[in-house]
Amino acid sequence: MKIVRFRQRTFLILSFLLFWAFLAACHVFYYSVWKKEKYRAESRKLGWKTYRVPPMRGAIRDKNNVPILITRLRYDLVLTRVHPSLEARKRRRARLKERYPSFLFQLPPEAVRNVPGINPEGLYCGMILKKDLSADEVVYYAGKEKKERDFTVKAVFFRETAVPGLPETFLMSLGKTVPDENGILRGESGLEKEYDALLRGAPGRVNVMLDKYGFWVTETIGGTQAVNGKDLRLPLSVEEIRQGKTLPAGMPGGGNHGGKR
Amino acid sequence: MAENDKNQVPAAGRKKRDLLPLLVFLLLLCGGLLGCLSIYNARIAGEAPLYFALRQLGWLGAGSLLFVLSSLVPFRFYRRSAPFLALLSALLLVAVLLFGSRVNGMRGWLVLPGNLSFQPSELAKVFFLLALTVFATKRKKIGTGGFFLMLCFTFFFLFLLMREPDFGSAVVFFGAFLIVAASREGSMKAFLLALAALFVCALAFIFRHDYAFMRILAFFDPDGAGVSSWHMRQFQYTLAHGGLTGSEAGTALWARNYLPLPHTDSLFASLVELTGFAGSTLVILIFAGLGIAFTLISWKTKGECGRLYVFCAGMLCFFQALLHISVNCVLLPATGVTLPMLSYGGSSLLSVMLSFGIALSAAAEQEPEDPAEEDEEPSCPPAEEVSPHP
Repeated sequence: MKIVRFRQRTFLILSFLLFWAFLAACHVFYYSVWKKEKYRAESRKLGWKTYRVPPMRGAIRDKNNVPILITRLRYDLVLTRVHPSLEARKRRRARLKERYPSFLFQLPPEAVRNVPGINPEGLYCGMILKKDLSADEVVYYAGKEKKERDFTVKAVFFRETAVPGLPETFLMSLGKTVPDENGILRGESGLEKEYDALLRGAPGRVNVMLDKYGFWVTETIGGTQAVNGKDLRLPLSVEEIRQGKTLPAGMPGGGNHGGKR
Repeated sequence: MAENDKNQVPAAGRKKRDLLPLLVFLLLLCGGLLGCLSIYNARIAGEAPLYFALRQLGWLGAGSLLFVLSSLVPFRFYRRSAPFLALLSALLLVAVLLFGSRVNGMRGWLVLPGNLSFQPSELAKVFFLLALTVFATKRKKIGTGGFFLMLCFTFFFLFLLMREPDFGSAVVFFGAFLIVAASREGSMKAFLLALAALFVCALAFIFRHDYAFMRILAFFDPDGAGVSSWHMRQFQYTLAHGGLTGSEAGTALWARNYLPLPHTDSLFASLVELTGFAGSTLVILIFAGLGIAFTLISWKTKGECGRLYVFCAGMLCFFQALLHISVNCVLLPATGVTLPMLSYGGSSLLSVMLSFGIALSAAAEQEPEDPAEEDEEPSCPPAEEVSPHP
């Protein structure tokens, strides 16, 4: 083969590959510079999440600063993901039953076949497997959670009476709270409702990137701290409450329902 | 005086030729170091972020040594032992099918003592190309029979690779065949027939293996719901995060968390996120520079076999790099090919260095195998016209 012919042929092949390289560079330019905003926005939707951090609700105290009603943090073990197909749910149920039989409900699949959304009584979605885990259990299940991915350890705020033996009528006047979709406790009745703005506090915000498995990429965590709610002090002491004294008039739950203090 | 001129021309030519290997070596070193940086970045969130990068650096050192040593061995030796080396690599490919360890669904590694593993297909790539070039230069032209034999030879290797199954390497071997066949003069009809046969086989493979078929489908529908489509979109997002000069985060965050194998099969996308369009252009220029340098070296090489090998070795590396880059920038469906020199892997790096070392040995060969074939331009008139004795 003559060198001239060889040069012609190799030049053609080289030109083809160089053109290919140019095309590849153009493609990179298209995605990394020309259309970057579009694809970045799409990726942000997929990979970045913003979570609201619930604030600790303020306590209700007596006039001597003794806490009567406090907010406590509890850790529950809950099933998280809702499997789209019944078959997948059955498989998961069998798997979990085999591995963790001690705290799983033994419901037949038919019983929950048509349960829509979150069903606290059922086995399959959002169910609390174990309430109020101990510190050791939190560590144990948090480690398991990474492998199993079917359940998660969830922190839940709830209200608890700190002083035992208070009259039922008084407790009713304090009112109730319910958690909203972000886990923030909201006053539903009584003093809790009336002084909600004071007690509730302001939620914080966490912006974080999730990896392809849904785990947090810790180096990307950012956001704002939650501001805890302020305490409410009552004009009665615990002893007075036990003696049956009621809240003064003008105070919600008191003799004369009035405005805020 | 005329004789002096004659002597000076080759001397000048030699001097020019000496710079190109140096350029090649520098480009390889640049590529290798850039690879170490990318590997470090791709593994930065792991438990030992420096582990892979330092290993790769070690392989780069060993590869440089291999490059120099293999370039010192006369090309004559490689040419004569090409059939044996091809046979050896075929045996290694058979051995890996029998005793190899399975990684990522592929039985492609032989486990060696000392926590080392070796990928025979990488070594086979070098010797396959060598044997193919030696065979292709046995005759002046590749006839239909020659093409058929080359095709059978290629099919044999492709068959072994598909048994692993290593689709990426099979595509590279197929590319090697195309480059060798296109560089030689031969029957166009036979060449097209060979091409068609390989194309049919590729189609048969794609339709037989669901994952390959899904990858093709995903390429045409990146917004689809399958895993392959999802990966295609992740490549797009990773490139977008790179921007012009690299990610705002300063690391390949998206590549690390969303791309499969960011230090091997998805290394280029990871590099784009880290260094942006500017860095990726540099990588493409390095490979283009290697391609041009090897073409120029091949044009100056004396022996025909050596010349073909030099060109094909350079082009094969360029081809593999383009394949990897094209997959990573969503220009081609996923193939699972690594980026030569940059992707993590000792076998791959050493095989590239060995291949280029042999190429430089071929370039240094002074005597052509068949001087009659080595006529440069037909500058002299035919012998009977100048002969004083008609």
